[in-house]
Amino acid sequence: MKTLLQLLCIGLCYAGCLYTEPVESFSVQLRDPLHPDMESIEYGVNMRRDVHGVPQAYWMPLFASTCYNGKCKPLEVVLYWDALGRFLNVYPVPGKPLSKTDHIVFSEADYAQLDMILKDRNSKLGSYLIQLHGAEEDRTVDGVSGATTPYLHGAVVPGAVYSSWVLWHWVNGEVVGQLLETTRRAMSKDDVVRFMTSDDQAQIRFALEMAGQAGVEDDTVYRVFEKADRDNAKRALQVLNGRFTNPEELDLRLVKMLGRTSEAAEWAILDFLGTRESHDPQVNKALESSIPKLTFIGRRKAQLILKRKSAG
Amino acid sequence: MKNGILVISILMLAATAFGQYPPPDVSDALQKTSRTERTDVAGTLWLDAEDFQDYGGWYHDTQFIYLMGSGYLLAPGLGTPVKDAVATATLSESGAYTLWVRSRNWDPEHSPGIFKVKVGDTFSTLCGNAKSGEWVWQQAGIFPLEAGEQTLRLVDQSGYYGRCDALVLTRDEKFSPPKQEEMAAARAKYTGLELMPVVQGSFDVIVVGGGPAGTSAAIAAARQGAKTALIQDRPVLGGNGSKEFAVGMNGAANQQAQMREGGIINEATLINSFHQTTDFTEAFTELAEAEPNLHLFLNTRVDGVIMADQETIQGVKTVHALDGTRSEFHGDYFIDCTGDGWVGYFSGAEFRVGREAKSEFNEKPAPKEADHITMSACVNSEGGPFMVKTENRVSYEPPGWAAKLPVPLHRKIESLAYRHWWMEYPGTVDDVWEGEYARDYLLRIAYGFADYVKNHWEKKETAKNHTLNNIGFFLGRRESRRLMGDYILNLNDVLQPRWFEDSITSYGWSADIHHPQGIFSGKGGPYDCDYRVNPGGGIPFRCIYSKNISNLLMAGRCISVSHYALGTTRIMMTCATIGQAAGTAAAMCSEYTMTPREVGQERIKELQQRLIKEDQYIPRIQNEDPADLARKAIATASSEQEVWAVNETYHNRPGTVDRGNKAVPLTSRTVMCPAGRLQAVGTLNFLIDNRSAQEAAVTLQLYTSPAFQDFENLTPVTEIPVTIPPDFTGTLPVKVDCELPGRFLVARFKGGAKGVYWEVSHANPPLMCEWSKWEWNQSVHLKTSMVPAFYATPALEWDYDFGAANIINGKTRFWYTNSSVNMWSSDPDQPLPQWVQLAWDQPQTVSEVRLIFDTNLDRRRYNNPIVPERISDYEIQAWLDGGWKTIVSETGNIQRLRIHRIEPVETEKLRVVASKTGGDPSARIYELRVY
Repeated sequence: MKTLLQLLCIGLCYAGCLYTEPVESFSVQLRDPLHPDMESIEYGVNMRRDVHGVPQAYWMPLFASTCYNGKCKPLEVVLYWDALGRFLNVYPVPGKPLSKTDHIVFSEADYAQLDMILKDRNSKLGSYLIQLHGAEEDRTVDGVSGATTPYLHGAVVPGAVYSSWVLWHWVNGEVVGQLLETTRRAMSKDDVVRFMTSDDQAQIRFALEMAGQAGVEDDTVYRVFEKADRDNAKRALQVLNGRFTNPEELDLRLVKMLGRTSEAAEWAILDFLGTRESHDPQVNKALESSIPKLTFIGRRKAQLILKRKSAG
Repeated sequence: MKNGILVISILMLAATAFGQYPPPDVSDALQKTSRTERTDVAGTLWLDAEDFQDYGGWYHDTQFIYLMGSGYLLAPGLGTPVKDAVATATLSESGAYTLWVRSRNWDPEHSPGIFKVKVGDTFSTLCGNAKSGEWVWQQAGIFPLEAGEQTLRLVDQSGYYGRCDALVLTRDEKFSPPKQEEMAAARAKYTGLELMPVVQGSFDVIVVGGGPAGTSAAIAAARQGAKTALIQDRPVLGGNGSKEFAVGMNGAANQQAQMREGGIINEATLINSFHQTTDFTEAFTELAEAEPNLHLFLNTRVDGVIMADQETIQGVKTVHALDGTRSEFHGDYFIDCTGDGWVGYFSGAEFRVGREAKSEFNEKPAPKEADHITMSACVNSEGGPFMVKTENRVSYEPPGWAAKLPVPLHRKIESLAYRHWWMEYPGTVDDVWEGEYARDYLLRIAYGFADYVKNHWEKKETAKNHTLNNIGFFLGRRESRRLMGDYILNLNDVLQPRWFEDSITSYGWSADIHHPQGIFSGKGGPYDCDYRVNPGGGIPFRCIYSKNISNLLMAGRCISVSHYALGTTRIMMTCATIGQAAGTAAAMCSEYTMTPREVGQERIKELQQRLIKEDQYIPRIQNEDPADLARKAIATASSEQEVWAVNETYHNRPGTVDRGNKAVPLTSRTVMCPAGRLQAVGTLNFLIDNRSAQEAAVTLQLYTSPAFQDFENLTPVTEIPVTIPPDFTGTLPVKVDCELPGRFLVARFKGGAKGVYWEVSHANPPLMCEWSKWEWNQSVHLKTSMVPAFYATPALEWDYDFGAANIINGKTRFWYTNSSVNMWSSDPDQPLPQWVQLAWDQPQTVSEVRLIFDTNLDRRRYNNPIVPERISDYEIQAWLDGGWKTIVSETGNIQRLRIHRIEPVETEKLRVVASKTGGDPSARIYELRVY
């Protein structure tokens, strides 16, 4: 669990303690998530680049309301993201700690929980319309038939439904797209290649999305299979499939990759091969000879493909 | 901003409402407002307790007016005297006034509910302590009083349910308090109460009872065009599922995957989900008030009928629950949704109470001889948990009248916050004619239960800091009269499950009959029986009209079923679907001037088609509507899903796995899912929560099974030791890598895993289920909803047809008979928007489009505002003048059935473009109808 002190340190580090590159500033247009019908307004974002000149961290001071009746303390925080718009941390302005509805100041455990909540991009908070659903009560019992845990249980810091919701939407809302665009504009082909060959699946994904416009060579895309998770393997297959006019050539190249890929990429490649209407005998032969190198599941998939081909 | 203010207002209202009972709106709705002049008549001032301007902490209890003539004030103080009720009245002359008080000593041995009346500054003698246990008048003192305004107070002395019906201050030395049967006339004499009934009008359909069945019946009848009256004796709609009674509403989906009820009750459920409300009052009110044909009469109790002849009802007589005024409602068709079969009772309809003899239906648990044993009611009400934990140790000394419960109790006490459903009296209590006694018996049991957990329970140390918080005082009945129809559904029908040609709805709750001894049954309870009921059975229409009253239908728990079949049909959501069928049928009776029996014999197919058009689920019945233009069209789509599988993405959708909510002990469940088309499994991932600081060493046992839900013919596959680290929370991968030589994979954990829990999934594809054996009562449970969460990597994919043609195949949910999903679902790898289209070979004139979306019929509960599968934003487009033109644009949809009536357009192509869901990557539509 991160302590408040650790959070502060991380924040300060990203803000510039460890880097020598100058801080740059730009602005983004954002709407208040509590008032999505109102016009967007300009917010200043700071940025620092890494040694390659690619944005490494973004941070944005935020002064925002946390409820509709004006009775809640507004938030005064600095929010931090990495180059891919992934939330890093929230740093309360000194002397302005986050507080709950009853004005109890956040504890270290609350900050730690908030950190986890804000990093969860699949959170229920994403589709939770607080304007319509309201901030539910901490109700625990609904009568004789048993307890019903409130819907937002675990998705919010107890006693801070609005603050959790508001911050989640600031952190994971429309700002992310604008940060990603800033990063995208700063990326050279070399940067895309560097991202594509990193161990970070999010960087690989980002790079695969830029593969076409950046003119990344096929060999680099093939390297993705060495580490890719299922989704990135499927993306890489899409990229490659769009480039080959001769499917057999691609299939053969993919089969030859088998045994040198991640488990997920192996399965994705085999699923891809399984969707082909027909196979070149050369591909089938290569596939058959690759079987000993495959995972248990890979072997099953390959055998099914070969069985179907021989039957059909 | 307006919305924001509205939300804040609602939130403030909700915050005010929670934690107190009754909620202000219900309390206000029980305040008598009709008597503004409170003065004496010839020296006698009659003051009904409900005439008090300020009830203070007393509650206006109108539950038992059928037993004692009127509502009364009740002091539910949990042993602490409640705040005074206050009235002012005017005396025309000075003099010595004798005070008479009508009250009831509800336990003459202990006199728990005592109070005094304060007249001016002088207290009466003690009231509520009469020797009799009946409602009686007590002389409570003589008061010298001046003419003019007097203040009277009801001053509670005990907080234990004192009750006061009426006060009389009289100078008349010959005044003789009226007997029960003379009360109405006395009220008329002294308060000006008008006893001549007012005729409230004539209706096509009169529905009596505003619970889930009655409200659904009335809405259905009104929507079918019938002028409908809904007469409800409570201040709010919803019955046991109302804001007053606050019992969580259950249905088939609690135990069967994909079996959530459709129709009106699902509509209300989705409104509730959206607002995260657990009671159904507001949703029902919203739906009822939206119907111009529906006339709602609250606080109105039917206490008689007007018969046209021996077998035809002409009207019902009512008394207003707050002020005693009388009315008559005349109508053509009547639906008895009172739960207790009152309309049937008054009209002479044949009815039964209690258990049938085994010889009648050969029901396995039936007694040899028929008897009058019924299931017990429960007390309940909103207002918070039964007990709450405090900072310090709290001792508890039960009142002398509290029930002495068996020690040990032989019950699984899941939480001290619950008023457990098994806090019940023996089935010999007559829930109807001993209603008030029954409620009081349950109060005794509740206090006895508090005594048990605080002083006698083996785990009483865990309750040491707990204190009583909310008992509830509403009598929520489970069983009383059952009106007899042309057919009596019995337990064997239900267990088969038997389908009937005249089925009008389904059921899915287990055959759940509570023990005849209630909480006193010891090891034998709490169930009498609890047999699993498989999907596919139907309730015949012949069960929902009276066999001897020609224009009477019934819905809810008073339909024509045996005692044991009632175990499944009594569940509130099932009752609501019965109500929808009865309301629709009554409207047809009115439309065609037929009796319900004639509708059943001559127009049953039409009734079924009308019902499914409104999204009622009737097994085997599919859309055959010749007027539906969609059935003549060709359906195509932008993309189609190919397989259905549970994977990481599926579990990560918001609201699918609600961590911590309903998690089950790890080793308590066995799970099953299809083995997948690969017939092999790589890694299995289990969503685990180790709440202990100890490492758990368990064994994962895998089997295959030849058939869905078959947990007996298992073939062992492998056993893998698994270590779960202390405090581990999250997804635990277990490498398996083995073949699955059977159609279904079965998995379970064995070994010591104290404090280790398995998270459950609130949504599952079909053909997943869990099996468990409840050690506390040795029963076996098989559930297809709320299955412990797990998935395989790679996913165990199994093929389904998600093609566009499903939207016109006439089926609107998963069908168990052939495992068809019957929905169009777009390819989850293709981004939204996605569309599905109908095309005709000739232009068609379109004026109405009906859509049935996927709102996840697997959902067990209704507190999830987000339904991942539901399409929220969509457009309906017509091909006009060589291009697509949007004719309907919708955002924020929350419903499953949407009906769009539009200006007629002539088109040869129509499509629905879905642009947003609740989080699922696929757009899903079950049905598209076009008229």
